[in-house]
Amino acid sequence: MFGQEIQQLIFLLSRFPGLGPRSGRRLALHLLKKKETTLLPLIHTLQRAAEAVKVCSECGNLDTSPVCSICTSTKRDSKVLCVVEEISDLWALERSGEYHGRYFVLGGKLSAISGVKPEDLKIPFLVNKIKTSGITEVVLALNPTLEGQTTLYYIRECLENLPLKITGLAHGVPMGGELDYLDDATLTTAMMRRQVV
Amino acid sequence: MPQTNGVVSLYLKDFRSYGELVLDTRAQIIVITGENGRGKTNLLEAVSLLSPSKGIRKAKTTDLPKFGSKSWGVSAGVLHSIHGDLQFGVGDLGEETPKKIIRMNGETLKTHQDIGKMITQLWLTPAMDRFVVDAPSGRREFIDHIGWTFNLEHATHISTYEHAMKERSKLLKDGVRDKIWLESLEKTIAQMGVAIVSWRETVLVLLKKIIAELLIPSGFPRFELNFEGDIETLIQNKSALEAEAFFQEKLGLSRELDAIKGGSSMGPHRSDLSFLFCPKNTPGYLCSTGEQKILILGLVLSSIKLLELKSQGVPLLLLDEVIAHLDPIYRRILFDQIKNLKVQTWMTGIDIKDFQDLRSHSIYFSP
Ligand SMILES: Nc1ncnc2c1ncn2[C@@H]1O[C@H](COP(=O)(O)OP(=O)(O)O)[C@@H](O)[C@H]1O
Ligand SMILES: [Mg+2]
Ligand SMILES: [Zn+2]
Repeated sequence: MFGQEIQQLIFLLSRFPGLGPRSGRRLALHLLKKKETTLLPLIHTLQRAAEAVKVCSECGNLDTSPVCSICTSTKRDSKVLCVVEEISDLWALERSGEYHGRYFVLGGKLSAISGVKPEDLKIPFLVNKIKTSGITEVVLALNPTLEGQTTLYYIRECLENLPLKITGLAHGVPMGGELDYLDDATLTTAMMRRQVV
Repeated sequence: MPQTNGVVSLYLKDFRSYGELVLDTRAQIIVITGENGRGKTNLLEAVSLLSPSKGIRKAKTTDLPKFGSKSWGVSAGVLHSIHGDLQFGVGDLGEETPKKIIRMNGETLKTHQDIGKMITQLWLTPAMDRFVVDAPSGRREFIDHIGWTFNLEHATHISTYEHAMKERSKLLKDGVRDKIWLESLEKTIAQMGVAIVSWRETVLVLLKKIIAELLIPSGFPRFELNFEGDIETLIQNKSALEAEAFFQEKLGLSRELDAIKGGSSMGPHRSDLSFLFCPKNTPGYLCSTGEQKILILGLVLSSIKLLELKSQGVPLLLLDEVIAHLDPIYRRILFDQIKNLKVQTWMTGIDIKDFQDLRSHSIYFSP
């Protein structure tokens, strides 16, 4: 029915998170019909993003400088470090606007079945960073799933006996729910009422 | 006829042996009779699909459309004590990939679990005849199903428990001996394990109360139910916290053994529900086929009553070919129970004459 180019476009679009074949077709059609106002600017933006966006060497966030704007900001409290699983969690917490410290993105969670080990999450690097950079509070903002909680326990044990306050998000985050899907108000409350774990 | 919460109308379209069927089911008991192969069980199966499960036959959705058709549908008007009249539909529209969808009042439910909040079903089928003597997993699943129907946390506890156990087994199998990682998983396993066992005990206490207060006084033979297992023994004389600590310690000590054998030798996945048939003081597995049928019937009747009392959903009881094994005395006891249950009950059998005593509460249908 379609030429190769269109088919490939639909295929790639339909594999984005949250999309499927049907929405892939709709998007492709939209882009192709409005080439000048949607497709070409998109190509340009994608090209620039691909060249400019880097992973922050300090926290794992994405930004256009080698160390991200959160890590370099002098307005942020460098004594508080919030550990999250994914960049999407960092973004969710930033949206909620309640947190003013810095972050560390693990890039996943401990899972024997998926073969994700402590080293894969840079946990040894994280522990060393905490030991050497004058941090006084670590917020373990991990998802209330089995893997999230196992990761929380693991990091907490690695930090045992250090002069630190270790907190987690307040309860009310439902088991199995993911931070990224919570509404901002719930997340704000969970951060405000964080408790020692 | 008294108005009962339950299915008030049923419509089948291209489902199994039925092309199209419309049934008025405004009665407490629906009796379906006819010779073998007439479609009695198919009808119960249609009702059983108004649930998050695959129904009484555990069938694949591709087996459900009438031969020659791709789509199928079952819809039902349901009277709910709180929500009033509800309309449910379950079926497959027959598109490229088979897909069961469930609708409530015209809207597709996001998760199939949601229908379980509105309708809670239990059934007894010939496939369950060996329930009392079969593998323990079936008995655990039965009680767990009752348990999470009115306490969703129980389901979370079970899935978290199983997940943590798999993670631990994988670490042990791969030779990973990261102490902190294993401890973290074992702590979760212990916490969830004790919570699971405690809730099962709670469910049993409630069932025993119903058995003693409702079943026995009306002539049902006395029987006992007990969960047996290490954690069960543990929580009898320890607090939950002590039991968790003890269980966790045991897990820590048995790593090398569990690495070889897989899983763990201790935990709620090893528990078993045992029966005792009191009139002869015989354990369930030594009972005759007929006596076993009484035991499972006693469990099912008390369970549906518990769900009627505790869950928000409309309770439905499906009994397929249940009276076949019962002598006249037990038939009468069963019929008395069903009449008293206040739960809509669907029954099948060969001969309509066998169901005469239910006349005042029933409507009859022969496919
Ligand atoms: N998908 C289907 N389409 C048409 N007929 C079916 C289908 N699945 C099963 N059947 C038929 O339904 C009949 C069984 O009906 P069933 O309800 O089990 O009978 P019974 O009255 O003995 O309980 C069988 O004869 C079988 O061939
Ligand atoms: Mg049958
Ligand atoms: Zn950074």
